[in-house]
Formats: sequence, structure tokens, C-alpha cells
Amino acid sequence: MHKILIAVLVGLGLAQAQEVRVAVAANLRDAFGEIARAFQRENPSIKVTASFGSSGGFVQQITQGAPFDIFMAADTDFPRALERSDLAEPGTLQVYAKGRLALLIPNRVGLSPTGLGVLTDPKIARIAIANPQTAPYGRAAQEALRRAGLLEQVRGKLVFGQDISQATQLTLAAADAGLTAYSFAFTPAVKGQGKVWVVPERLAPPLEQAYLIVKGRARPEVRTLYDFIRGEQAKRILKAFGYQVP
Amino acid sequence: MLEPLLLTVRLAFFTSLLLLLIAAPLGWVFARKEFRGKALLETLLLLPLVLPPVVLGFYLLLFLGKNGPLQQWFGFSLAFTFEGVLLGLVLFNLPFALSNYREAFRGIDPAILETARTLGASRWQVWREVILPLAAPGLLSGTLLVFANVFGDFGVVLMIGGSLPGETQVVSIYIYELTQALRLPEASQAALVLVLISFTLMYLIRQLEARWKSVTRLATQSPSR
Repeated sequence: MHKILIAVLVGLGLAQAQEVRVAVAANLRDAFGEIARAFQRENPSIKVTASFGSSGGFVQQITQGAPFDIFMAADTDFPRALERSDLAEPGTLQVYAKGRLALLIPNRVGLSPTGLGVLTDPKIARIAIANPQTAPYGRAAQEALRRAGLLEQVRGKLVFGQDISQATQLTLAAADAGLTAYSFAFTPAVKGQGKVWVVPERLAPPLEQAYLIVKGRARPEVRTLYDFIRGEQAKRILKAFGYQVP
Repeated sequence: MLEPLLLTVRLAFFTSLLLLLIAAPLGWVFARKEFRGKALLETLLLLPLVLPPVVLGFYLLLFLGKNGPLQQWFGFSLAFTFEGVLLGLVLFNLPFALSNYREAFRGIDPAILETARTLGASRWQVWREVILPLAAPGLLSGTLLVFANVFGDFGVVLMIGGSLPGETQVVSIYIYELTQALRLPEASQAALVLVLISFTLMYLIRQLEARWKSVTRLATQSPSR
């Protein structure tokens, strides 16, 4: 009788697989997919569910009580905002990667970028960037143009995606150039579609991307994934997508 | 707030005007005529009703974008332009306009039209003095519905607009961006204005519909008495 009861309980426990929900900045889309797969190979009992979007959007959602356990942002400011509102597990805010900004010009335009100056070329009518107010890569793009002294000249050409994914998709589908996350150059959707030039650090300092555990959600399985993201395997994957890792 | 709002009003105006010109004749045809392929054509034109706006926007982006047929064949692209967004909104609202206009015409008893003709009214007179007056409230409420519906769109414009202030940044996108940027007081202010506008529009539509129903009832009953 006892054995049956235990078997049933164990069965219920397994059926109720542990789940970790992660809010992931859009620039990590493919990289995080690989990290999650590697994690699940090691921890088959933990299910990882990821949502992708702009960092600002996630801060808003978590503030309103969205059920995310971990938040991986595209910068450090947005996680800080959560920390200030006391919505982060104390001490969990850490930089997990540094992301680079890159200029992407679709093949059909026929230009090979060697500097941001190419954006003044008449062949380039539209430049897609992410919304500077909500997406750190959008802010970095705007700042890079300002530092290069080009912002006023190209302002009329700018169009805005809601996050860096949409900006990249707009670049490939309908614009002539885009400032995107370097990591996208390594994704199947972008690879081979255009010419990529990494914006140098003096124009676009690497974005220090931080993550944290949301307040009250530091369950053991959440901790396991949190630690995995700073581990060697995850670092290798992040490097393969063009990120610098601490 | 003012710029996105005015832009949306402008888009709403042109969308409802264009649809009145396009969808009203189609509504008449669908209400009164039988022809081969009618069911197919009607289904096709009503399709955007069940298609998520984002899907419609995605197809439009491919169609209007740099790899699309418009660019390939005619050498221009409508992505990120007022005209491109307008085209998207016209397609998106076509089913609403069409089904409303169709019902407006369908509500007219064919017997009245025959009576008018037998009493010697010319084709033009039948249109001017019978059909249009009877269908007018229905046409107007359909047009207002489209006008109001433009305020509600998000997906189509999100996909093809590029959020350009004064050109494609409509009020729904503007509010969305405010919420994402955590500028919540401004967002709720703008949202409140939008609620007031929408309420007024829906109230007008409701009043018109009530009036339309009483008019058509009167008109369809009087000849038989």
C-alpha cells in the first residue's frame, strides 16, 4: 500500500515537471535557444520557457506581476530599474555578456560598410534601428550615430522597430541598412543575407547585459538555470554568437 | 499626443473615404447580384476579418518591401510610408465596410424598388430618391465603424509602419511605446483620450443604427398598407 502511494506521488511529481520562465532580450533569441537546449540536456526534469521582447517591455510586464523567474536584459539599466522597485532577488543582478552593435547592409543594396559614413550614401534611403526608448540596442545605435557626427544628417532616414529583432527584420525586408546586435549576424535568418560591420568601441561601447532572478522566485530549479547561464557551456555558446563574456 | 492623434484621424478619414468609394458599390453587387464565383470572391474579401492583423501586416511588408513585387516591377516601396499604412488599413477594414454596406442595401425591400419603377421613376430617380435615402444611415454607420476601427488597429501598422512620428506612428503604437518606455502617466493620459474618442464614435454609430432600423421598418411596411 505504502509502495503504491509513493509510486503515485513520485509519478505526480514527475508529471508536474518543474518549469522556469525566462524573459529574454530579443538580441539573445538564437543564443538563448541553444543555452536552453544545452541546459535541458543536463537537467531533463526542468522545462525552460522563454519569451522574447524588448527589455523595457519586460520591466513593464514584471512590474505588473508577469510570472517570469529570470530576466535577461540587453543592458544593465533596465534590470537596475527592477532592483530599485524591489522586484529583484537581492544580489542576483549580474552581467552575463557584453554585446556589440553592428551595421547590417542587405546584399541587394550592394554596399560593403567600412564605417558609419556609408549611411549617407544615396543608395541608403531607410535605416532601421530599434526604438531608442525601449531597446538598449536602439539607444546604442542612436548614440553611435551621434558620436560619429551623423545623427542629424541621417535622422530623416531612420525607421524604428519595437525591439532589435523587428529592427533586423525590417532591415532585411524593407530598409537599406540597419544597426543591429552583432549576435544576429550568427543566426541562420541573417547569415549570408547582408554585409556586417561591427561598430568600433569608441562609437558604441559594448552593452553590458545583465540578468537577475525576480523577487520571490529563487526556487532551486531557477537557481540551477541562473548558475548555468554563467557557466562554461553557456559562455561558449554566447561567444559563438559574438558576445564577450565576463 | 497631438501628432499621433492627428495622424490617426487623417488615416481614419482617408481609410473610411476610400472604403466608401470601393466597398459601397461592392456591397450593392453582393446584396443584389448573382454571378459565378460570388461566394469565392466574397470569402476572399472578407478574409481579413479572421486574419490576425499581424499576419496581414507581414504579407504587406513582403509585398511592399524592397524584395517585393512593387519594388521589383515598379521601382518603389511603400513600406514606412503614410500611403503604405493607408493601404494596409483599407485592406484590414474592407470586411467591416463591405458587410455593413451589404446589409444596408439588403435591408431595402426589392418590392419598393419595383413599385418605384412601375410608377415611372427613372433608374437615376430610384437611386437618388429611394435607394440612397434608405441606405444612408447604414452607409454612414458602416463608414463611422471603419473610422473608429482605424483607432483600434495595432498589428498592421506595427509591421509596416516603422513608427515614424507624423507619418506612421499612430496613436495605438504611440501608447504602446510609452508603456514600454515606462512613461506610464503619459500613457494613461493618452489612453484616456482614446477611450473618450472611441466612446463618442461608438455612441454615434449606435444612434445611427437605431435610426436606420426604424427608417427601414417604416419604409418596408408602408407600401403594403
